Amino acid sequence: MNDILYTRLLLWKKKVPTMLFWLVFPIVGTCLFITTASTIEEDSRVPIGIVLEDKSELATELINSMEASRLVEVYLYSEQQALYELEKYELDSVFVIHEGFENAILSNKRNKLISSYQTELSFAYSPVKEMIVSLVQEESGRAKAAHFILQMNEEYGNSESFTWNEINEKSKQVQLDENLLNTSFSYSNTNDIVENPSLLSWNTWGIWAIFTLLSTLFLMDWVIREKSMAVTTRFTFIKMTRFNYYLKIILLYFMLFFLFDLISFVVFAIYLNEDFSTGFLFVILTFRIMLCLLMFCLVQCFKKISSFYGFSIMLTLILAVISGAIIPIFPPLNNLMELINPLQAFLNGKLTVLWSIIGLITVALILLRKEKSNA
Amino acid sequence: MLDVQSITKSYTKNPILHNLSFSVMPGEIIGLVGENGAGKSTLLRILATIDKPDNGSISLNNLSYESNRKKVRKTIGYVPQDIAVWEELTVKENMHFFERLSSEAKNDDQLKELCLEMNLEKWNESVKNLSGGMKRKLNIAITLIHNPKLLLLDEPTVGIDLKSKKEIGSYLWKQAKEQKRIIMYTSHDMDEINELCDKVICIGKDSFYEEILSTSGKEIISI
Ligand SMILES: Nc1ncnc2c1ncn2[C@@H]1O[C@H](COP(=O)(O)OP(=O)(O)OP(=O)(O)O)[C@@H](O)[C@H]1O
Ligand SMILES: [Mg+2]
Repeated sequence: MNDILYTRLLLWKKKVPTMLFWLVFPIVGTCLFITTASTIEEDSRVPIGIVLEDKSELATELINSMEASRLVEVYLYSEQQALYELEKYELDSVFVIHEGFENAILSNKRNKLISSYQTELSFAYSPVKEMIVSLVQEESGRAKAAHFILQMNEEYGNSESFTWNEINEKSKQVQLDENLLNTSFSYSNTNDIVENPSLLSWNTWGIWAIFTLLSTLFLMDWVIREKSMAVTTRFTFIKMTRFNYYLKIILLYFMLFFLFDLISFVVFAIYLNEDFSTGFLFVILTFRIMLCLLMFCLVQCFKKISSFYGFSIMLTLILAVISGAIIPIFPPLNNLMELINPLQAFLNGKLTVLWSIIGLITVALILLRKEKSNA
Repeated sequence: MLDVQSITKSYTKNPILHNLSFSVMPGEIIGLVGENGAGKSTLLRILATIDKPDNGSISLNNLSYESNRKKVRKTIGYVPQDIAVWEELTVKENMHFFERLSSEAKNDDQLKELCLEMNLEKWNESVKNLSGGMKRKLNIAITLIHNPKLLLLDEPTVGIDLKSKKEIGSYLWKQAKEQKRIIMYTSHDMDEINELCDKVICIGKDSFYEEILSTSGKEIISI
């Protein structure tokens, strides 16, 4: 292994800039992509004015949910000021949460809880209204449940008592766990689908996976270069078998790649606030094993480096589309996609087992064939 | 001793090498001549274990190519017709690269010495900046790293200036006579062949070459 490391380092030394570029490409690319995407998202939020007459927990909770939806930018104003801003078209629309909102909800009165103002330019008025209605429903359901428990608690004099907040938090947690909240809201006029924020964190690794696929492919080009070179005849006379020679090089590339995967892991945790879970390291590990093996197999099919580059870009684009890393796909398709798409398991946060095994078998076959043709 | 027994090789229907037999003793230098496409490179590649003959058997120092391929290989040095070195590496790096992968360990001084014997002084020069002749010298030097018993060179002196040619020639001669190596090489330079070789193998039963070489009084094996 030392000999392989030594000889590879000699070759790597000559192309440090290119190699470094492609190694950090997924890290920098992902960071730039995510930062830009969230800036654009930030900019495209609809500014709405909220007049908060009711200072209850339920009303505050409602506003928090609205902000968390990433659809709207909420500005709290007095009614007079809100209308002034609306006239200047600084706000898309204005919603007034009336005094007694919480009480009305809890006592099942549904009329005139919120009133709204719009202008002829309030293009987002209906979707925002719909969103608020559905949020109110969600919140009120939860609030009512909490209220009911509290009441029972009082009536039956239970020694353990919960606060309203505790119950509210708990029920939220339950909802989240059961994925009840994963409904998407869409603007009828823009076709934009905004997912629930809790799902967005996956996209960092999804985008990274796509960038990494491309960089892995481009860094595997040495296989084609060396295959067409006269030096390969010399490998007949080296001390190790061809099987060993290539296996060790793949291993070396794997270690180099994984080192940069670990760097990505740390960078994303610090810079993009990704989860720092050790379990996920194994997900990355299997994903990387699969990538190294499969891409090594793939590159064998090419004689011309330019057609390989073209293919790499095509493949990356195709997988980016079917992976749903950039465009989300429907969950029911996920299991099927794991069979078709080698990236899918990773995107679902699972260990890449199936495709790693396929890669391992294919590499073994290819190397055995090389060995045989060399014997 | 290299012993070749009735080997045949064909890529298409027409055989390139047909029922070829000869043997070479240690310390002998054999020249391979024949017109372009006669099959000189093909024969060398077979002797270098890179290709396999369709028929026949070969053995080196009583080790059969068939049954002891790996072992035989360790004692063979092959200088390909194309220059087989890393263009982007320096002379030094090339030597160290292949030393690391060779079965014979050599230190930096020994590797440098090898290049100097070949009159290749630009130790730290990148190969892509070397002249064609210098690349050829490096091509040979790399092959000598593992002290092969059988040295096969495919047109090693193409494009090398007369002075270097003589130097390489005398180096090869020394290697054969002092180290008892078998050297087989192809060349289109009949003067060089005449000067250096103990025997000449003429592939393709070519009367043209036979006539030219007959004046030298060398043993000509025409096959
Ligand atoms: N891999 C191959 N597949 C098919 N035909 C081949 C192959 N290699 C060589 N040949 C053919 O075999 C014949 C002998 O080729 P070879 O390279 O041995 O000739 P040569 O004597 O070395 O010629 P030169 O003096 O030009 O180097 C040629 O006709 C060539 O076209
Ligand atoms: Mg030839």
